[in-house]
Amino acid sequence: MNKTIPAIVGFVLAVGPALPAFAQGTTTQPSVNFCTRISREINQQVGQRILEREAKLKERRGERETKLKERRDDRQERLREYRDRRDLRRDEHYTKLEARATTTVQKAAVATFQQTIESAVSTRKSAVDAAQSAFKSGLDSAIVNRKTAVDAAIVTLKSSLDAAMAKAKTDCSSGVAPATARDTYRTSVENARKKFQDDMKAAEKVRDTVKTLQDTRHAALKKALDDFKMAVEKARTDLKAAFGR
Amino acid sequence: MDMDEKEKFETVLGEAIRLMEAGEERAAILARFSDFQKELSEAFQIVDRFSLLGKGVKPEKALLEKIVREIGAVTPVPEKRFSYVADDSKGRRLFANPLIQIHSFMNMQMKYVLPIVAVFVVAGAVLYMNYGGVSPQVAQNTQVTSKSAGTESAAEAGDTTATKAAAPASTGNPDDVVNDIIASLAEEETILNDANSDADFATYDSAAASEFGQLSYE
Repeated sequence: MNKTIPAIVGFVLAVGPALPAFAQGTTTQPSVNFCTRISREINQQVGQRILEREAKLKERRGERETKLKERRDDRQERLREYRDRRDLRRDEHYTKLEARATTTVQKAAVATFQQTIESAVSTRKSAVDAAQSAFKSGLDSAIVNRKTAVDAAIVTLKSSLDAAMAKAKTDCSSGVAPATARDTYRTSVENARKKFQDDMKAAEKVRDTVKTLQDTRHAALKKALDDFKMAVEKARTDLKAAFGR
Repeated sequence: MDMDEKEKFETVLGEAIRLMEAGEERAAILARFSDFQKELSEAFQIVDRFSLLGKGVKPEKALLEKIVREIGAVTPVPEKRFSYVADDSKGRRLFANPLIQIHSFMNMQMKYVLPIVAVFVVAGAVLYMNYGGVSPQVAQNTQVTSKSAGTESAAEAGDTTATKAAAPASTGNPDDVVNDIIASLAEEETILNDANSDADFATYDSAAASEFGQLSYE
């Protein structure tokens, strides 16, 4: 043990200065190694990396589907619960109003009020459901279209990479200088990468589509709300007139 | 002595004691309350007797020896001293040791403190459920809303809380009825606006897809 440590230290001190030279040696020979590696390592490594990314993308899309469905189901349930609760509440109101109506005119006014409110509620429900449904189907379409665009971009990228790989193999086997073969491969890869990024930018325009869907939905909901309020306020005025207030 | 006289005597006695403590002569006190001279004299005699008893009262030698024998050697370390209580001791215990005091407090005082605290807690919970807070169902709904509404604004969240509070009984007043119907719309809006966050899912796979353009292909 006492002799081992000095021996290691001595070895490091002796060999240490020569390490940069070794490192330099490896960087000065990549073009030669490229032709050796292109048919073995590079081909396998690139294929493996793409497979891993495809699996990850698939997993992410699966998550999206699950989460989106959960959110929609949850929202639908809350809306249903809200509507049921409000239906009961309005019934309670109508019962109280009927109890307060003492004259024929007042009773008729309460009946009209009830009819007007229920009609407004029904109209509003239909408008809301239509707006929600249009947004949902529009979003689903946007997601599908984007998925198609992204998948196409990936396919194009893979084709370009395959072509670059094939060209590099041909160059290496036909006596083209390894450095030249490597540069040609790199240029092709960079072009393929840039094309993919451009395709992705185009696919990201789905945000504009979704924004339009949101605006449309918002406008529809606002109109449904305004119409409902107007109908209810009119019903209030008529009812109060009958009750002499 | 009837009830009125008893009450009057108690008053006189209290006053007499006060004067005595103030240093007034007993003769003067007896003269002052001539109607109760006899009773006051007896009271003074009792006081004298107790005063005499208090002087020079000493424990029996045998008792002292027993105490010393049972305690053993007296330690100079204060933390190791304890309060001696013989098996046949009478009267209040001495609480020299803080641990004994705490133990006694937990056993004795908590008999009264804990039930009182429990009553306050139950009363507070009842008040909160009836007047101050929201029902469990509403609380659950609010929780669901906040969980799923990831991007809704603070204003929307505030509307939810306001509108989902337990509704009072219907009054049958036309204004109250219409106001209630309109107010309920805020809750529906909150639910509907939750769908806005669904838009984020359109680009949910962006990061994973972009990685294809960042890979090393060598």
